[in-house]
Amino acid sequence: MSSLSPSLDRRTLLRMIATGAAASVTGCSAPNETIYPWVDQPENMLPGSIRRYATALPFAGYGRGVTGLVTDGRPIKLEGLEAHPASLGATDLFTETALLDLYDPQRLQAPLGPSGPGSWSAAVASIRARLEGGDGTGLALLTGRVTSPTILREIDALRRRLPAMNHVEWEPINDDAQLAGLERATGKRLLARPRLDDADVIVALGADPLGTGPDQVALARAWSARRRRSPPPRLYCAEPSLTATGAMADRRVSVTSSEMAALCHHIAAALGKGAGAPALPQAVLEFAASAARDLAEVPSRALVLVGQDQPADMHAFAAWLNGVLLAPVDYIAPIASSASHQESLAGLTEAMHAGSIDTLVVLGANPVYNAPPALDFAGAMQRAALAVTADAFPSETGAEAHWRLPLSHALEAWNDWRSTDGTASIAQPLVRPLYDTRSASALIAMIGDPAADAASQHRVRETWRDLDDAAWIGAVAAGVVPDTAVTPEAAGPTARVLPQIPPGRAMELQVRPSPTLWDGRRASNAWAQECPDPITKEVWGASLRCHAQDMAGWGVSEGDHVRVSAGGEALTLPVRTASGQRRGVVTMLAGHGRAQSGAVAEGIGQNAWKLAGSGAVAVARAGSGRAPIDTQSVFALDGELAKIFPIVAPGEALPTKPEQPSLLPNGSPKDSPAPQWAMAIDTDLCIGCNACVVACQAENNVPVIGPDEIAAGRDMHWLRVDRYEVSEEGATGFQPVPCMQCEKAPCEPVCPVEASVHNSEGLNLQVYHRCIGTRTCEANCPYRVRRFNFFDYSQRSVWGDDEAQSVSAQRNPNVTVRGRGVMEKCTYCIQRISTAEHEADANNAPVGKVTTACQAACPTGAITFGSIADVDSEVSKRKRDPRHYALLEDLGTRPRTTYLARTVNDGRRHGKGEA
Amino acid sequence: MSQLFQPTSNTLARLALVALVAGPLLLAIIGGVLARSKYMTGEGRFVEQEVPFSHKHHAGELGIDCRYCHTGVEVQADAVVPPTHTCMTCHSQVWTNASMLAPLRKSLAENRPLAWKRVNRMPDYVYFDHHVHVKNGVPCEACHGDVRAMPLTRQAAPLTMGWCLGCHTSPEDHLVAPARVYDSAPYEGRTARDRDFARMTVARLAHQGRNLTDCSTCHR
Repeated sequence: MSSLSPSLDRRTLLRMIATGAAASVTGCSAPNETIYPWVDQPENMLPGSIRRYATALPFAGYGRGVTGLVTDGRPIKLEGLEAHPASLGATDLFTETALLDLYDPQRLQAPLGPSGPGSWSAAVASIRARLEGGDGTGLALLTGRVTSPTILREIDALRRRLPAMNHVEWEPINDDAQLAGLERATGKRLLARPRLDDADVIVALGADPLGTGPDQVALARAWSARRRRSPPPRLYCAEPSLTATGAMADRRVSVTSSEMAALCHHIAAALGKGAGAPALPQAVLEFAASAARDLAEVPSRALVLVGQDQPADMHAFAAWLNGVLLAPVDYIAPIASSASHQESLAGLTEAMHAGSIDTLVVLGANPVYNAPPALDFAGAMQRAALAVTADAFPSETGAEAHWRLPLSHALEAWNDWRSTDGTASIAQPLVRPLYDTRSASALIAMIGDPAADAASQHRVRETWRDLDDAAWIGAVAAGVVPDTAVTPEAAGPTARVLPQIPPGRAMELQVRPSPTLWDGRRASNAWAQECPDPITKEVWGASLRCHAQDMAGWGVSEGDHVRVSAGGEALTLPVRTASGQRRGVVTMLAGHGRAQSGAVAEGIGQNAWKLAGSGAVAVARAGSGRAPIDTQSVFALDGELAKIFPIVAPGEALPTKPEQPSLLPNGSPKDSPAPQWAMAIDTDLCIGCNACVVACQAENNVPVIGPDEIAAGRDMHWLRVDRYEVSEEGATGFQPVPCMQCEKAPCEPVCPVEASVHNSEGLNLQVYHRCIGTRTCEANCPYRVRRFNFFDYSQRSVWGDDEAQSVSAQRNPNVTVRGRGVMEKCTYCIQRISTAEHEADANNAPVGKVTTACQAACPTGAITFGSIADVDSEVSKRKRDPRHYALLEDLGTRPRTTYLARTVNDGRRHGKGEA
Repeated sequence: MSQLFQPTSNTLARLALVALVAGPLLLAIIGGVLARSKYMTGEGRFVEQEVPFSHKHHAGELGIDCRYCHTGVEVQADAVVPPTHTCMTCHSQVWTNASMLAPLRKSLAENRPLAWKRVNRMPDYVYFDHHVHVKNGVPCEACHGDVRAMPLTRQAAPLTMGWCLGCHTSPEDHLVAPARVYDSAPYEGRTARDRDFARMTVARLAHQGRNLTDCSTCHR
């Protein structure tokens, strides 16, 4: 990555001054702008208009519906799709960042063969030459999770030609443990689908339903729906290290893996279903007693959840206990193959080592990076006579292969996917392929028949030939195929399983999916890399999360490096004290440490997959090194917390505060005939998922600035999500902070050029072309929401390609691209407000509903936006809520963005009064 | 020792003092005049085009409605420059071999757009919306001049912010009844209907609390 700090000598400086002077003279003449109209304009496709199309994007193999906003043939923003069960109109971080992948200069753009650049036909010919006349023996197809009916149909067609071929699915984050556990408890390989909106009490055991994953939006939506209703629900969470679910829990305890298993025994015993309770720390015992009592209190409305990375017997225990509790859980047969990913990959690698696989085709999987190191997948690949990989981005597996083929982005081809509940979507392309790429199904079809139709629409249409033309058009336009969700199965009688208690370890390692990069497949995405981790606020890398006493034991302090080793593998990375971390457990995020993925991710962090599954690890001091970078410093807020992030019990009201005296005129927005825009954010519903942060970035042309600039404290996100906590095991929560749009804005009187001014609708405007960059407004803003463009960030690039032409195609034409030396900030998506008002004024109609980008993204509906001049608007109603408060109200700035307080229903401080 | 200063030095010193005050003032005046001059604003400027399209012939003499080609003007921000196919509705029948139209035929044959040079240029930070103006009674001619008399399209107005604000501060003097928006010389002989519509529109905007001089009206 190019450094942004300039290195200047005298001559360069003089040259730059001369160039600058010349440029300022020539800059006066009007640039010649060219207008390119259509040749043949499709009906209603007016240049400059923004059109919305339903489509779908895959994540970990599962489809999620999206609405693509397209202008002049360029998709510029992705929003949720109301009709799709995994989107429900909202998005998550992965949907938001997927758009950048389309325009990413790091993408693979043409096939690369053993002797340099090649062609698709040559690649397919070399695969077919090896299969000539055979029955497919020695051919292995390795993919990620496949739910696409079209890809499955193409694989079936290929298998009919080559019956002995081998197809293996590999995802490092898989459901192996859950399938095995449910098989043990019910005799069937099933997946649990909790109905969180029906659950009064949820006990999450290492589970993170509100955290990252293919189902995050649906689960968070269901959880928030229940949380808004009375009686107040209660969320218990036991986990080794703080997650989004732990942060939102009413009661949380941190445990090691053996304490987790023992906790299950205690819960079973307290419910009268078990015997013999192993020893546990007092805090965990109290947690177990309280959780068990609450579970028993609301039969059929209580639920136990177990995390994806927990052992199979924990899943079996949960299935049994949920059966006993008549819990609101559905069981479905897996949408994708029910085979174990770990075992399938191990079997394949063994066959490869034995030399019985001579042709390996890897489609969108990256086992060299994320397979267990004991398998030595890279070594096994050397045994194959022909290894072909197809992926959208460079990968470690691609670097080991003979052929590296470029796959199309999901927005460039016809596809279909099924969602976690089975709902199928037919995904239409929004743009022609930018490069010489093919879709995954096209490649499989071409292996079977090189003359196969390359137009992906026909292949997808063939899969759905049962739909008549009207139904097909309806399904494409709606983004979902009706009635394709699978019906839940009866789990039947469940066997009582109590988890085996693993031996205590001196130090154990937990590897978690990264909330921004998942298993590493999103590591090349600059928006994702620059998006802060919800808990630690780290960007561009992740450190090892430890307990402070453990760190003291190794003699290291914050930011020092340690060496984590197990089973012959060792990684060196910085440490950080993480709140809510169990002593004796260290936590690493997967997804970092990519060696071959393009300029953005290379050299950042360490690959946690190398140590995953090892359990016990040794940690030792390893000196100092590059410090981790974060966007929110950690410090104690002696007594200030109640002003910034108050926490109330259910039903408790915040005290009302008197109006602060002010020298500025007092106007009531309620008297205004114009809409008075305001926002209310419910911190009780915010799960810190960061979808809003990246939605804002995509909508408002917010540049990526890279790790060096962030380390210098120059974060450019217009919207940040702060995290506050009361005590280590106590309540914590998230607070999204956009511009407060203060009615008495401290930034306005100090601007010497009136670039910071108010409009008659209560917006605190920033007039970019007036701004001369004194930064006085930033200094005077108590909320730190103004962002200064120190360099020409939009023109500089973190992709190593100075122009980054392809990325500029993503920019929103309705938002100014800010230049160097300009202060910028959130203005409530003023381009959306303007569009709505122009529409209203042109048609003599009332102003329609305006949705800001952050609000549209939010899966839990935490953000509401509207006019407070209308007393019946959603935002006005929230502002009358007893939990309503303004940030730093004492300053008298009268912010238009206000908050609803987080509630904690922990049963200790309030109400039931136990413990 | 000789005199350091000659008698003329007094005059020079006085002149220097005057220049100290008058110089910057003069520079400011020249700058101000220059910035408002047609040379700087581009008012009255013609732009060489690939095809020398005549609005005078098409809109004036043949009487083709503005909206026949500028299809976006009533529905969205961008009024739209017409696609090649719109030209070809007639020119596939008339003047099919005119050398003047060679670029047009080439565009159709090669499926490559015509390249038009922009005449009425706004800075990037101005977000002008055609349909909100046209549907509220701002005639085309207010900004584009009498296009029906232009053999080659020229920039008819200075398009400076001060010029925009002239209308935004007192819209009632610049609006006509919607039926006359596309007329030539709409401001000549404004009728009572025009004035009624203007008053009603201004009253409606005031009733909705719309402030046309907010920065955010045009800038984002």
